[in-house]
Amino acid sequence: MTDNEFDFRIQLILNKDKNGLREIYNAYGRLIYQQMLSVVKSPQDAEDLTSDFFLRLWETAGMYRQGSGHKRYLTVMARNMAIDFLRKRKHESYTLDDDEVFHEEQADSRLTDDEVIGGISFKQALDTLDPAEKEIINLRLGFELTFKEISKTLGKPLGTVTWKYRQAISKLKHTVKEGSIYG
Amino acid sequence: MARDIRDIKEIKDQYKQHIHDTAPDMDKLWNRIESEIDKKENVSAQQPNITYSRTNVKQANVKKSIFTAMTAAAAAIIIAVGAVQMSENLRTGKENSAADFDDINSRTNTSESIKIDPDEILNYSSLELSSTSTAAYKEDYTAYGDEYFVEKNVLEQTDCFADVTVLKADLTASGGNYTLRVNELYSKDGHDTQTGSFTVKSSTPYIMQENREYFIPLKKESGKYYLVFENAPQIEITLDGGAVFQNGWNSLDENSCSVNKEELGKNDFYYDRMRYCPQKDLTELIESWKNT
Repeated sequence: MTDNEFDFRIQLILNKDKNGLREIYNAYGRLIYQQMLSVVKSPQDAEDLTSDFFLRLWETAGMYRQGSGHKRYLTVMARNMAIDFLRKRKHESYTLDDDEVFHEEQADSRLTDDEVIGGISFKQALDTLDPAEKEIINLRLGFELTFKEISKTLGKPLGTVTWKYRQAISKLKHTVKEGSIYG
Repeated sequence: MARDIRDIKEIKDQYKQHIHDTAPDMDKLWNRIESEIDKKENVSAQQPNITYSRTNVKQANVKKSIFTAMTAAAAAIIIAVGAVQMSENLRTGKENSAADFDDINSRTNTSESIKIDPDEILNYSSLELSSTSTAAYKEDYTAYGDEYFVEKNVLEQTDCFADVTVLKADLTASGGNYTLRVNELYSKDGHDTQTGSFTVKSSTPYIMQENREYFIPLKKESGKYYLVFENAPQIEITLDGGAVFQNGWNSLDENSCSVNKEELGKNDFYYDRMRYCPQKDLTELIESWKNT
């Protein structure tokens, strides 16, 4: 969905036409669910939050500024809701810790051949990613955000984002090398 | 390189398939969302219009009272589940009110606008704020009330805005009691020149700091005032006319940058989404509110 197409759907919502929300839901519902899931981890909680997310979008459509980048708007809103949920309900925190900030010397050392796992499903491969990597993969491959947009969405340095993305891709390539993708 | 690109494309295709395969029943989920929307729409259609009958309300042009500085930062506020009850000692203090308000205007009505880099990150401690001796919030506080800040919803529930200064913050294990001096009250049809003090109880971690100034939305029920939204820092006004606010306040976002707070407690949830604007014209916010 382009920004213009999204803007049109927002106008429908502002006119109380639920078709506008339904089309946004059809385009992004699964991705929003995945983003929620990558943070809260519980499928049921992620489903509840996805429902809350679209209710909130319905109520706050007037706050969206046209042309401001709808994907980032959606992902920031989803992320804040998921983090608030964790903080309030479970008293958990979710951050990319300081020690996860990118350092050049880490780039080639984090993944070794010893970590390669062959012949597993893609889902199992995804499970080897940490929550932050999953979120970045979802934003990059699912929402197709640029690294800069991901950096702004997560409030993390660009270097950290690209490093974690490369690390995640590398893990996926290695773990499924003899599995569903290449098998 | 070509192999890498092909690999990533394959992973991307696989990922999209994975998303599709592992999603919940999307039709069922949509039905649930649609049902909730219908419920909410029915409720709001049945709600009567609220009328405002305030005494001593001066018809004032809100634009004239530009606070450029609003906000609040975070940290502070108070209001909690509890409720802000205007005490009986609310008294008329027109002279003080006018003086305070003029003071705010003098801080904020500068002809030259200060532009700020939206990507800049300021430290909260670097802002011009009054000195304070308020202790940090109690970490065992639990926030109640609405979970998600939605500006539109907050404005719809707001009966008046109050510019207040915290005279005393009395923190206990179960919450905080705050004595606030009202510098100005704003109703939808003007601003109220009544000033005085009132007390506010709160159990949220968002403590208002003594000697600091805030701009808070209040709702009135059965003669009592309550904070409209408790689970976020309130808008804090800086000495030089700036405003610190959490990023849910979309109306205040223009010409603002991120604010970093150096020391956080475990319940200080909102400090990763605080904004600062060196000059904040409240007109847009007030107009948004008046149009709700």
